Amino acid sequence: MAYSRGMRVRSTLLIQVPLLVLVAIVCGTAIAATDPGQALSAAPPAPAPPTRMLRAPERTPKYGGVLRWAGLADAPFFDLHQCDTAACATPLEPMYDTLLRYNPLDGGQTIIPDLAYTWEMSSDGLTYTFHLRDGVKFHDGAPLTADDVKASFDHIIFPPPGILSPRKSVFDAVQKVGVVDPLTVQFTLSAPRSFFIAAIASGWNVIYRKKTLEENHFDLKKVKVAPGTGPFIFDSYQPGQVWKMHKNPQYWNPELPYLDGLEMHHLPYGPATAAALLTGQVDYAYGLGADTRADVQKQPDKFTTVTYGIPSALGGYINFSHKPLDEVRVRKAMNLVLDRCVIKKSTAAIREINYGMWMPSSDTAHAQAYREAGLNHTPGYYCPTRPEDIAQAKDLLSQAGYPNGKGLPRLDIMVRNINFLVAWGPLLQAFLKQHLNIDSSVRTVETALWVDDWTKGNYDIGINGNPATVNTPAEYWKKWYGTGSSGNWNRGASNPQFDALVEKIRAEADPEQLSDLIQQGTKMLDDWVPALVFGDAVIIDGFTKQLKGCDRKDRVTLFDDNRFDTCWLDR
Amino acid sequence: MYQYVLRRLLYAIPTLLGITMLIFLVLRILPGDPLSILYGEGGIGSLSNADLATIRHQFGFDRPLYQQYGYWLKDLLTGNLGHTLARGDSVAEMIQERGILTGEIAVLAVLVSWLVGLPAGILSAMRQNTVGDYLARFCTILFLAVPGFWVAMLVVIGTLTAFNYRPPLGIISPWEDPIANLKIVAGPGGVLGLATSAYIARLTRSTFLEVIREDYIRTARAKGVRETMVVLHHALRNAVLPVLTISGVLFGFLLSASVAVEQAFAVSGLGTALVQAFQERDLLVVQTLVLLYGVVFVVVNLLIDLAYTWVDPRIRYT
Repeated sequence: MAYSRGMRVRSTLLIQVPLLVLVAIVCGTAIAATDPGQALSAAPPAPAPPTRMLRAPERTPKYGGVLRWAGLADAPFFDLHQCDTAACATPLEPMYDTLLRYNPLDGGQTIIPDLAYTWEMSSDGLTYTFHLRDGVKFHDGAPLTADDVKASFDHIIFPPPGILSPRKSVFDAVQKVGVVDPLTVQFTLSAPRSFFIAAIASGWNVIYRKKTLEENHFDLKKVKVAPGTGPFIFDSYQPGQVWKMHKNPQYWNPELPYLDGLEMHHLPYGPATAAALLTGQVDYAYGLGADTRADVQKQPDKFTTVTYGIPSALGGYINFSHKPLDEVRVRKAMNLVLDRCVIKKSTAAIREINYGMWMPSSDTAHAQAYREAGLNHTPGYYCPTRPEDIAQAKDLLSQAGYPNGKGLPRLDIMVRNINFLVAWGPLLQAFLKQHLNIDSSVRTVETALWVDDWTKGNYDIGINGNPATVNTPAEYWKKWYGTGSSGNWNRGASNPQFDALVEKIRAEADPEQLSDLIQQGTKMLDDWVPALVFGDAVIIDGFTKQLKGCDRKDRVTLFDDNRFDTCWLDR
Repeated sequence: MYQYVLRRLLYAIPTLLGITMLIFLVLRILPGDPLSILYGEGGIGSLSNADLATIRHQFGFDRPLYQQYGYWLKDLLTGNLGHTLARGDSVAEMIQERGILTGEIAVLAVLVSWLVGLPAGILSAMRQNTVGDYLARFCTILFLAVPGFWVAMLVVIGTLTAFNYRPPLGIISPWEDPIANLKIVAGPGGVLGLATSAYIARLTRSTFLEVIREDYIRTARAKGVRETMVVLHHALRNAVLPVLTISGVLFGFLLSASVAVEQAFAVSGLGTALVQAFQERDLLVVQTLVLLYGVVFVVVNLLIDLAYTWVDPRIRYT
């Protein structure tokens, strides 16, 4: 085993909670029921400190060398809690740690300890107690305490006015973050959350110093050297160019990191990163682009490529506040005539996507069976589109009072000006016209203008991508389709029954019950059609064969395992 | 002479003031909320309207336009170029770092345009209506017709596929590593230089054709002066004056063309910074960079005017 005390915990919701309980029992700690309204429960006796640490899986990893990475690294600002783009996550995360983390050795499929070497959950699932490692130091020499953890999570969950917190909804049930003692933190929830541990482990939730947060009025957007406890220490930063970091010699895990430093070059997604990799200027290229992956794969002795999905819903977001899109039969008709295989093929050369369904392929825990059962077995999900589905769509449109599209206004399809999204506007237009005789106009809009029209609801169907923080329907369904949620936008899409179901899913720990609820959810979405899902996003990375210790072939997360501490260069 | 320079500098003040007003107003008319772009859909969705109003106030977006303009001018006059909206990077430092690359690209392009355009124009004129002339004219029309950024992309793809070559990453100053720096600027400088050499060649050809028919050239030839001397010493100095003038104009063209070509070569010069700032609606950076381009254009054209006196001693400014 490569890390401490055998506390590897499957992040999958199916087994996550029972395992957590098991872990707590194994650790010899009491599982105490707590009343969320009451004071913090007494700290359980701290388990013995860890004896084994995370390390590279190879027997004799080499120390030294600087990993040169290229990809999106032009962070719009420096506060990971406030940021919402990979351009922040990748260059900043190597300097920080989290309470728990996604395992870099299996592509982030499991959750392992990080600053917290162990944790317990109360029997009612309402209290989580985390025990911090002793002796961890920030890069400025200050010791890590529970106050820092509390300040960091308060910053995320209860942000002061004017402070962004794009992912605070995953912690909606957290009532309080409390300090039990200098090395113990306790989270009190108002309702159980089956994905709570997965949310805590998210790479975004890095631990800042309480003092740093306070000194900067809880706004670190312009603080590029906020000290962390991570394996790498900030050296320099050239805006829009490169981040340079060196190894943290005082890192709490004496085995890590293996690399002497990191250079993270900012290059736009696609051919530029591939060119840098092919010419040997970098060791790792994020976001190769489908068209240049083949060039990299022509040299299998030198490079490895990895393709992984990220929890996201790419497609047409329907504006329910515009008639007749509030009519479910119109939306269902549109959903039935989409040929999702054509959509996938249309951008295959520039951007690979997975076939669009209500659950993204990156959710390996829940989506696999649903996707296998749905594709080519369910109306609307056949490749190519079946004539009977098209006939059913026409019927639905007639029942809604628009036979052969008559009486329908010309729809405004607004497309965000991102290369692969741009291709989908005319495609959707063609499907609607060809099968339903619905007229529409396609409007491609620069991002600068897009956000304005998007937030004001100035569109009928907006083609965009929508990422999620945690790979579970409990989180992404709430974000994408939940009433008033940050990813559902101001488009009038609201279904109280679906909201109630998602709340049940968020609280459900029993795998069988959860599976049933999720199945109900997919049926409800088929009947409601809050969006036209074209696909979910896929990222293609390429890296030199000399890079070891962080093989990402099974990677399932983009934002959560960017620390590179187990990576080493075989030179 | 000094009076002339002073007068020209004074004339430049209203020009630059006009540029500041124009760019300031145009950017304010453009749609697109900087905060929406800065914070993204997720971030902006997590803020209340009161939060947004507070942030707008902090950035000074809620001030009347005349106040915003006044503060900007005041900062400029006190040498404070401000900071980028998002990360708070110093705009002055950004110009210092990236301006070197863009300046080098522009100067290199002018050099290439002269080195290619002048000989091509002279040869074309001296061998009028020969195969060489036709070939030179064909090439100049080709370079005029083909956009620089497209040639740039061909060069990038060609060098990558044929030689597995890509210029070094990042910003490397000429003092830090001259060779690596040259590798960065050579591509965009060369492409822009070839594009502008077409203008130089065509103008050189037409002015040369006029000059070599002048009496003093005929006299020089009659006196038995060698043809090389006639061309380089007598004809070239007079033919080059319009070329100098157009070079000043072309320098401005190069600055604007570098925006696209820098992008194609992934060079992090001011052009790339300008595009990024524009996409992010970082209005302060955009207006400062555009003003900088305006200042450079004015100064370069002044220098060109002054260079006339050196090329043609008959010209005197009073």
